[in-house]
Amino acid sequence: MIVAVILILASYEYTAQVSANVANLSIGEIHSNARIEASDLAHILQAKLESVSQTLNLIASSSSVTTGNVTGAAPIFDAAQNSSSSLTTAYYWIGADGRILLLSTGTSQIFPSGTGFDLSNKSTFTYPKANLTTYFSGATPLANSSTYYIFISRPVFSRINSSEGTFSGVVAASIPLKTMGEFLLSELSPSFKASVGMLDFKGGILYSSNDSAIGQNVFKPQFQSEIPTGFRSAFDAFLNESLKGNSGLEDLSYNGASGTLAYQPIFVNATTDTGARVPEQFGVLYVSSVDTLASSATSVISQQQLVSIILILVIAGVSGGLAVTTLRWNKRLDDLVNEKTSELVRANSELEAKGRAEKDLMNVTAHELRTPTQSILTNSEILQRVIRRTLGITPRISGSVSNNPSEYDSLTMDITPEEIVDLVDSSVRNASRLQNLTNNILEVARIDNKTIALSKEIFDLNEAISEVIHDARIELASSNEPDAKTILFEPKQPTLFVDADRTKVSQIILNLLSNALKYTKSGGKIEIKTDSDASGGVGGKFAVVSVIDNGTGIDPDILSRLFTKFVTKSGTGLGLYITKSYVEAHGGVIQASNDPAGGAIFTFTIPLAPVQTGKNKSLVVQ
Amino acid sequence: MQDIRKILPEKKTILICDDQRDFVNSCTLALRADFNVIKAYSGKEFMKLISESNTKGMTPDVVLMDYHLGDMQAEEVLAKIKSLELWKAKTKILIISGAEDVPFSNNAEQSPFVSGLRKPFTLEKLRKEIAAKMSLNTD
Repeated sequence: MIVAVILILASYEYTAQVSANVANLSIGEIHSNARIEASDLAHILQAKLESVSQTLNLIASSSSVTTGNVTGAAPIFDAAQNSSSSLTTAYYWIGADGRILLLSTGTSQIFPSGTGFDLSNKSTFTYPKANLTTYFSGATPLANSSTYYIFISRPVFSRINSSEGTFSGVVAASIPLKTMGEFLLSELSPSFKASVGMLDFKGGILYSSNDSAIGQNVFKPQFQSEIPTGFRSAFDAFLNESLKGNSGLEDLSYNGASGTLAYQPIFVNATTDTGARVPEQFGVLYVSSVDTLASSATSVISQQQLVSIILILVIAGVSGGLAVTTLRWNKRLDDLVNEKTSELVRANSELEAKGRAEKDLMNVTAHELRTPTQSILTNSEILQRVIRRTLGITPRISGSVSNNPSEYDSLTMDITPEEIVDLVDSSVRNASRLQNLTNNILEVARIDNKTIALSKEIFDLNEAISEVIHDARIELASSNEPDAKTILFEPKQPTLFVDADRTKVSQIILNLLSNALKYTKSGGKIEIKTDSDASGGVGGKFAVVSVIDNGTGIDPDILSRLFTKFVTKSGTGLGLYITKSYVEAHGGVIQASNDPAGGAIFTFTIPLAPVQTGKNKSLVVQ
Repeated sequence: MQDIRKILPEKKTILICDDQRDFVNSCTLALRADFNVIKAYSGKEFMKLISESNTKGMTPDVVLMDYHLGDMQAEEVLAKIKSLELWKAKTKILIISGAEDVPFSNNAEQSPFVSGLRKPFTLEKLRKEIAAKMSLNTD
């Protein structure tokens, strides 16, 4: 009876709440869509800005730029602009005096010293000069133009006159804000009715659907005067909150209609003079949308549309003559629910990923353990019979003893001494393969548990590489490879002292070399090159090692995931994961790419020793 | 267990295909007393042997083939074999693999590999499976 009453009450409660729940569900969906869109767009934009910033890093470190060779640098600037022309309008090289030396809009224009446009008092020049790091500007107009741009600039350090590298100018790129905003709008999901706005972290409007708003500041009187008096303090509080560097979401209501505003900070990495990458706040991206279902429920579609316009225009800071009287915040409880749901979804996907990883581990290890085990077992069985026959001992196969020794003679009588040696060699080879696999599995466990320990020492990287090559050559000679493969070693300096774990660095090189040998055909060639990131000069921070082969190249299907566990076309897919982990444990980076001419290129960096010792060892190149 | 050679009226031909050269070589040593052994170290090599089989008059009685051949998987080779009448009528296929994801099954409709042998296996087990494939009573 009690149960029946509870059920009736529950049923009543349920019926009464259904309509409200439907509306809440739709709002929830809009909230999550707005959050997702804001987050996605922020990441897309961040990646775009990062790619321009990285291109500037490459230009700044090119030998033409560091040695002041303007003519020689022109093709580099042209290539940079042509590769990012959908976003950037130009790349610039500004000399130490603040005057433009080179301007490339796809084709370079070179200005003789002292004749280029003077940017010496512009932040694009003064900031990287004063701070020796990358600069991301706010909305900046070009001279004599109402078009606003973002400028990204970074310092150039000369390698000619000073071995330390002195400030010798700035390289920069310009991105029109309108182009950037239109790009973001094009990235919005077409099924999600929304608009986009963007502020820098000081409140400057970087993008609005209304061009004339770009460049204004939301805290300046021109913008503030457009905000309804009764709403101004709440709106300014929202703006301040959104500019703190956290993501968030707010609902706005106006006369019963409502809309949603999600915001997401954008961080970009600035590169300092030491090569360190420091995240900096760039701006905040806003995505506004309308609760269409909620509006139909309240039958104020016209007001709804008005709110939508207000949301966009308020962020854009445009008056447009709109008579806005009241906007009020309506913070919803479901923020908390959304947050908890996200946590559950995240936990669930983590569990699924863990399950997948375990299955991958089982599949890979099963095959990789059984294959060499099979060879060892077969070899051992044959050898067992040969030895027993030779010694006149009764055959014993798989634990059972045969009564008829002649039964197995057919198997072993015609075996030659050379074949016996081959069987033993094969067993050793396969046992070694098992040993490597075991070590790799244990090492991956250490990496995943973050228990890798580095035993650093200062040693000559070139010498360590020579040793690995020497061992690899011995192994190659003893393998059953029909034709030889050539391994070349071309160090740029006779010695290159690094501060690193020698065993692990040797393992990194061995893994990359083995990988190159595996995918290089008979008669192929593998080159290993070393240099410092100062390219022969003093003051470099990292040794740069490249392993280049002329083999089959990396399968494009797996290239982007190459250093992920279990990603492989053959083998365990653990070697490159371990390699990357070792490099990163030293604070280095590793990259892989395909050479358009054929083959693969792996490059990694390892910290140089603070002082290169004076020992001028003669290099042992095998 | 009976010696296959004593049962077979004449020496049969076995083709061993695996991208693990060591396994192919040691298996050859283990089986060559009882079989004419043909070796293939990749799917491509196997396909070439199939293409040449008409002109060379070589059709193996048994194929011992790993599922993962490095350059292709067993299905591709099997499809080729099934397209050739002589091979289809004569050749028995025994698939081997160390992987977990190979579709071994006892139901022919569920899997192309009616029976398979999971690595690692003993020579005794291998000889038994080959004999069973050739419808020989080895007990």
